[in-house]
Amino acid sequence: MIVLKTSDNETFNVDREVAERSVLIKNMLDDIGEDSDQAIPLPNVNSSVLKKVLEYCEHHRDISEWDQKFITVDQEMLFEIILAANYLDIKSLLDVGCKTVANMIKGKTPEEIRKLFNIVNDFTPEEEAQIKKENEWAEDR
Amino acid sequence: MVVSKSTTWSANSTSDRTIDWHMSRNNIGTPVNANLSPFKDLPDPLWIHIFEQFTKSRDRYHLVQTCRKFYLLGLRELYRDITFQHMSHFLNNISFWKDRRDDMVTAPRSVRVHASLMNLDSIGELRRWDLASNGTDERIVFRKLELPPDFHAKTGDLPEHPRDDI
Repeated sequence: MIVLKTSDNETFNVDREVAERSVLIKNMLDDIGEDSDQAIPLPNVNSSVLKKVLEYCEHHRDISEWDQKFITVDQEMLFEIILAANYLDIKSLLDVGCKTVANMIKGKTPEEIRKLFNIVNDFTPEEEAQIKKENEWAEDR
Repeated sequence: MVVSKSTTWSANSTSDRTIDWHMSRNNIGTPVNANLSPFKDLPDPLWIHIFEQFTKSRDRYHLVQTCRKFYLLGLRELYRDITFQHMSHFLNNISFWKDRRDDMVTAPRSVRVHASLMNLDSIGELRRWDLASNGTDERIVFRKLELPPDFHAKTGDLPEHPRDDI
């Protein structure tokens, strides 16, 4: 849960996932870091408007409970659903599928991701070392 | 986005993209992963779409580290938002930009640099030209900056007192 503070100084406790429908809030959360319980100031939105906006965000969660239940299938089926959604051009379903794959990857180490998808590490040790060195910055966030 | 399903995944599938850089340098552009399963047949644009779902650089980074295929597909996405918190990270990244033949410099939308890595004059200058704003906790955020090819050469000179203890 995160705290949002409106122009009229009201505070709202909101699920991070719900609040992150807003790219502005998402970026601010990225800036203050994971564990901060700092309230996010929203000086351009008052409490009655924010209440309404949050209602919308709650309804249009990243992946709704229904979606989540629906997409709980094995890898083969998930893959087929993504391909079908792409072929039939159903953007919302494609998004749910791709987000689900992304969620499977999140928080995993490169080795764990390889295991997940049967990926063979085809880098030479030198290349791997170079990639690790140049992109060390990305480990921070 | 409509992508036709390709039943075989070949080394050519990424050749149209502009990210097959470094090829001359270390052959990272030659993907060999044929037994990715069952996701091996997922068309490249769909993998890129999956890359776009991550909110943390760390997750994108871990995926590009797994194999050549994902390195090629995910690198642009990885470099959309860059954050340097430590001087050593910044210095280690310089070689990434050297002798590039692709258009990777057009990838970043934002570059965040910890304020302690820059001197006050350069910070003031950036703000004056409206190129940067204060992030929270002392980070400087460059606004949707298209990095010039010599970006790192220039900014490499900025810190007066490089420190790595933050």
